[in-house]
Amino acid sequence: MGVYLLIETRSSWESPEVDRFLEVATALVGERHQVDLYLVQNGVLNARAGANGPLAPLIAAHAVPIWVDEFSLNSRALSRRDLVDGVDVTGIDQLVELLTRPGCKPIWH
Amino acid sequence: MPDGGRLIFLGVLGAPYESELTTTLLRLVNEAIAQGHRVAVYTCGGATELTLKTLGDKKPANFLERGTPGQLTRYPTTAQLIRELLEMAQGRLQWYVCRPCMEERGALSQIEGVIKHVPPKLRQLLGEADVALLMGVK
Repeated sequence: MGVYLLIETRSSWESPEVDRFLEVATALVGERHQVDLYLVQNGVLNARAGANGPLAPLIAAHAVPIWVDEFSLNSRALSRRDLVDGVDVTGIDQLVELLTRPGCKPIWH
Repeated sequence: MPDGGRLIFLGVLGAPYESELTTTLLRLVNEAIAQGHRVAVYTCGGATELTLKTLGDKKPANFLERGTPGQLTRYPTTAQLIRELLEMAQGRLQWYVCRPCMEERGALSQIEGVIKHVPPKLRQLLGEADVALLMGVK
């Protein structure tokens, strides 16, 4: 079992690639890998409530912890009350902790 | 580089000013060092200009702040921020600049403390690191 960290920096309105990237997370979980998704920069916009659910399949599956960067949220005048349920707001310290787990394979998008 | 923590390799391949890539990079480096890890950054392409000596220490002042009470906001350049990170890290941060990318852009005047190197070094660093993240590429 691999340990994957997927880092999404873009919103699904910027590129359809974002949806494909999120599908990678689903596929990895399907192959029994451990996957975390960290949303940063414009990536945090995917977690907005009413964002037409780019994260909905992942949240419904309860298989991928989804982390939302608080600095990026604040930079966009957003806070945790603006987000869908099922995501955790955190700082860059969490990203470093995820990144430095033994065997972690990070993927930046 | 001193021992301790894990060795994190960050390859900066994307355009540094097209998004918040540089902000995220500097935040990540700062936090990794604070957590006791070692960091090697390798900048390619336009990212080699983050450490240009000619950027100076600070950006132009915000004129909207003039005449307002209180201390003026500090606006350091990326070169200054990276210089401060190198000092803070006390040897646990190595900042590499891709020499061909740098020369292609005429970004020859680099700040003290960065290491100019050729691309094969990137491969070596990838092999040595505990974890490697390539930033700014799709």
